[in-house]
Amino acid sequence: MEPKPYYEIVRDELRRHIEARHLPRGVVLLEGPVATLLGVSRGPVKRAFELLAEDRLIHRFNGRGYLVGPPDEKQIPKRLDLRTLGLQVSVNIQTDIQRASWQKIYGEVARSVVSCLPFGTYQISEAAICEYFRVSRTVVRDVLNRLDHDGLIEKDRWSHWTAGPLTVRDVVDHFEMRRILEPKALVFAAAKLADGELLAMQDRLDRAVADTSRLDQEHLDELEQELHEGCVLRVANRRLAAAIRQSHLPTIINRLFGTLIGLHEASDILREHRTVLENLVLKAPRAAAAALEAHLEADEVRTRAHLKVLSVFPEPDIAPYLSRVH
Amino acid sequence: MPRRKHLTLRVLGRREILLKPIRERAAADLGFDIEFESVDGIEGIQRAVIRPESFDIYHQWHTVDLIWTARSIQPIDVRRIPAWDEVERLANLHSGDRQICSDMFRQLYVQSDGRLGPQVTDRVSMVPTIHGMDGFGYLRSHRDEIMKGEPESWAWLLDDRWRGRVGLLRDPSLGMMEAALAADAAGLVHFQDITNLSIEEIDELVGILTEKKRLGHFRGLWETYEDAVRLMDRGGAAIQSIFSPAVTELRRRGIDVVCSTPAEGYRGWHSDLCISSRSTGAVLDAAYEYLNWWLEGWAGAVLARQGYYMSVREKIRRYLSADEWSYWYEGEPAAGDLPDPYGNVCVRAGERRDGGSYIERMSRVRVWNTFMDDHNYLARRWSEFLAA
Repeated sequence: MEPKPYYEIVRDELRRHIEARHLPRGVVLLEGPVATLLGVSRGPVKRAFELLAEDRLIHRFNGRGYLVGPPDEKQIPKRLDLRTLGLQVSVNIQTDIQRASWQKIYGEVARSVVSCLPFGTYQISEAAICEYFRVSRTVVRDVLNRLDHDGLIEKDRWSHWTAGPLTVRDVVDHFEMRRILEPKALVFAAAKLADGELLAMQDRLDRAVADTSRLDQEHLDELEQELHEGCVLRVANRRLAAAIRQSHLPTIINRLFGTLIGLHEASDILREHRTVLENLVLKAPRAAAAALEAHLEADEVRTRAHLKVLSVFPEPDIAPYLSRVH
Repeated sequence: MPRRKHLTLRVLGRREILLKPIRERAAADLGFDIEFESVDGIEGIQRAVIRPESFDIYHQWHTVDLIWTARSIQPIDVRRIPAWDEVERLANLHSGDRQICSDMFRQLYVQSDGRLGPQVTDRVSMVPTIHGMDGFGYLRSHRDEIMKGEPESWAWLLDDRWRGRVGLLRDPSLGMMEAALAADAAGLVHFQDITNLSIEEIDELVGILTEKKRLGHFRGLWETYEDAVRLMDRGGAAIQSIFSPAVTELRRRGIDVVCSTPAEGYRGWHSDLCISSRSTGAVLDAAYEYLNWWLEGWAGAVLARQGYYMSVREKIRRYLSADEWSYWYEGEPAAGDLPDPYGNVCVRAGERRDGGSYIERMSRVRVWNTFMDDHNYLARRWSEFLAA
């Protein structure tokens, strides 16, 4: 997921406290104390205040700062030390704020790289990323190193960063990894999956099966994630999970196909998922693993066929920091 | 037949097949309007994949798996095709143990899992019609001068003795396949599966071709069969990839071009009729009528006169003269002059078709046109060669 900008994180955090009435109406909000409370600089707080005011959650008054509450309500300003309100700053905000600079743009860069992989070989310009995101070379190098680590890009013999092409050989290799690793991981992870959770997943699956004509790629992605991440990646072994995650790369092919052409095989996919889940519910992890392997085999066939179709597609729009090599 | 106004059947296909006389005759026989739109190369495939609503019939060419995966075409119910039995009889043609039209059946039937396969069912992805094979063509006058006594081989296309006089087709799928046949025959590269090249094999082949190109090996690269005619007529090519209509046209112009029978075997092809997944109602009925009209034989007879074969051979025989049939299908010497599809003489009395009869020629198909797994990579590297 692409990290949110700071001001949005601050805005969401304050909105949560206002809506829960932890920040009562009439409380005076000042940039400095709020910034200190949340551990951020004043810039994002200022912007967050503006957005909250637009949403009529806070308003300006005849003094410094803002008052909590809509502008048409007469409020008596309450000047309090925010720390006395016992606000629980969510864990999210802490981790989001602490996220290193490179992480803020990693998601977007990775997404644009991955989407062009099936269409050819692309060169990535460090300078153009700097310019596009207005970040320093150091940040861009962190991003590129991370993309390299994640197996999305590599250096060619002239030391240029390049991405793609995602070939049939890659698809075959990745699926071989998945067939070796995922069923095993599922067996390990099975004990951690609660009955209620599995039944809820089964229910969501059944509702999707009941009307596949309304299914879109996004929804199908969610269902795929529930199985391949929500269940399989529950495995405790982090190295195993990381290896599995890397081998998920070819799923971009099916996502692009589904978006550009349509979901023609959704009912097959969902039926295969159902078999895996049924076995998990029955506490038969090995049978579930076998069903998962069969699903991955079928998915490889689908992915290869989809890649072939994508090969006739005209080049998609690409990010300005990517350029086609061949 | 009374005209059915407001009904137009839109047909998409290659220019070698969508001939004007065929459109006119079909429209007259069927009583509705027919539009032919020629789209060669990748544009045709893109149209078929991305815009199924823009056509009713597509004469597919080695891409049935793609358009099926994209659901651009719909299953055809063979119970609505009276001549289907005769089409299916093609599967029985063998040369020794080898099924000679195997590729037409490989992805023909809709299997129970919704995929395409050779197991017989009532629903098919396409109706096999026109097929044939290509070797390379060369000027007879040059043979003794350059390759005296040597058997015809795809290796000639890369042989330095022809340097500066070689033409190739530009299409990435077919061009790469012919180049692979040539490199293989010349012993330059050994391929695991010449119909499905790996990334490394593609790189190696493109390397060889690019080097040859730099040395001035190629006279030209042609897009359409008309370009191929020009390249050999006045363009300076003495040997090149060639399609059958270009051979008949060159001969009509009095140029003695040999359609080779390469020792390694031909590159086979077939073009089949598919119905758009978007066609319904009256248009769908018209599409079936059009399919059945093709299997009635007249169109196949017209195309026989440019060297193409038809799946329902017995049906077309009645539209050919005995002399035409024995020249084109049986490989016998022509008793008199024979016409091309437009009525111009393209075969002179006494000439014999290169390669012999239908069965002889079909038995020598080594590879079939195909869309390779790593087509994407292949096409990009091929464009680099074209641009080099």
